[in-house]
Amino acid sequence: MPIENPKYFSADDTDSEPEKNKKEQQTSEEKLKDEVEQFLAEQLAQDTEFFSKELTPEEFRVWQERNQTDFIHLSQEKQDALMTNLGNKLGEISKQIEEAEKNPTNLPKGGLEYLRNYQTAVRNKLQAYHLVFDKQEQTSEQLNLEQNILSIIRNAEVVINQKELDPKDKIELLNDYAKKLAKLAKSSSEKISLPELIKDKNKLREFINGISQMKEKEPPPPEAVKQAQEFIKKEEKKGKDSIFNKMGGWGTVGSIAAFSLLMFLILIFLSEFKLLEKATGFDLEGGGGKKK
Amino acid sequence: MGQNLLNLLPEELKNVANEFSDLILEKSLMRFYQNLSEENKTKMAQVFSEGVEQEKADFLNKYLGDLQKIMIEEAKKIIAETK
Repeated sequence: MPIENPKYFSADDTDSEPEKNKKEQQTSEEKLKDEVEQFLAEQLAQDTEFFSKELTPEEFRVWQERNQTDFIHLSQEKQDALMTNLGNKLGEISKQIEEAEKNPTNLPKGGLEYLRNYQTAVRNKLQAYHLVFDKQEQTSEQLNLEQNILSIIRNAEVVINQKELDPKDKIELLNDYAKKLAKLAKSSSEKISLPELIKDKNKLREFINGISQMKEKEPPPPEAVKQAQEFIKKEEKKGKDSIFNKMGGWGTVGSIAAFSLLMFLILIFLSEFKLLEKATGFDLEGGGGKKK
Repeated sequence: MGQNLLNLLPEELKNVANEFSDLILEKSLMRFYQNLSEENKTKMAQVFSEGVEQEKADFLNKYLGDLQKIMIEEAKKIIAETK
């Protein structure tokens, strides 16, 4: 029952304006999280059953399109919350499956199969949502370059901050984003020259000089480290023929050199293009989270 | 894959991308190396000077733990230090 008469509150009980705003923000964030959780609980229950059956490509296509249509009409805030939630779920379910495989007797009959179908549902949903961004990008002639870059970085940021996401999935997603960023950077030389995009050209020069100086200051690494570095880079250049690829694809090690490039691409855009802070309040130096 | 990514970059960013990624990799591997036991440091030196490719890959797969996390941290540090 809401209390309508404010006279029952003493001055001490009343929150200050910033406190009130903070509480309101928290409540709205919690509300959004709950809403997303409830939405996904219902959807994933149906999807898990759906993916327990043998599907035709057409059935899958219809499912994917339905999900994308729902997703595309949501606010950006909700889209972010959904993708974050799904990413976390994917990490959690992978761990549960791993545990269940170690101790299958702890589960009721069919339990492991249910978990696997649930995992498929989560993964396919996340993929369907990611594809929405791809489609948006393909038809984004009306959007300017800056918005495109922001959209990609926003997704990359969500992926980077998902602690529970399987490293293999994380690298694959980041790899896609980095490729898109690189393509945009390249195409920008035709539409807008790259220096124009960099808000402060001196910053980039300073950055390059800083790296050179840092390299000079560093004591030379031990021979074993140098050899390991050369080995990783050499194998990475081999691509599909790499020994890491033969050992099982995107493993822990297979994409280290590539991963460092991804970090470069994402961070250079974040720090030099100064686009993300402007639009989303991303705080790189504060650990990658959003500024409050 | 890394080389393909590099080729997609505009010329003015290629060199800096190469240097930056080299530095992240080197710093991250250094941190990984420092965390190894003395015994494993010796083993690493032996594997990378005398071992075949499979042994090198096996060693990295076995001992490289959360290198990605270290790489993100190192990348952020480098960006912060060069500002």
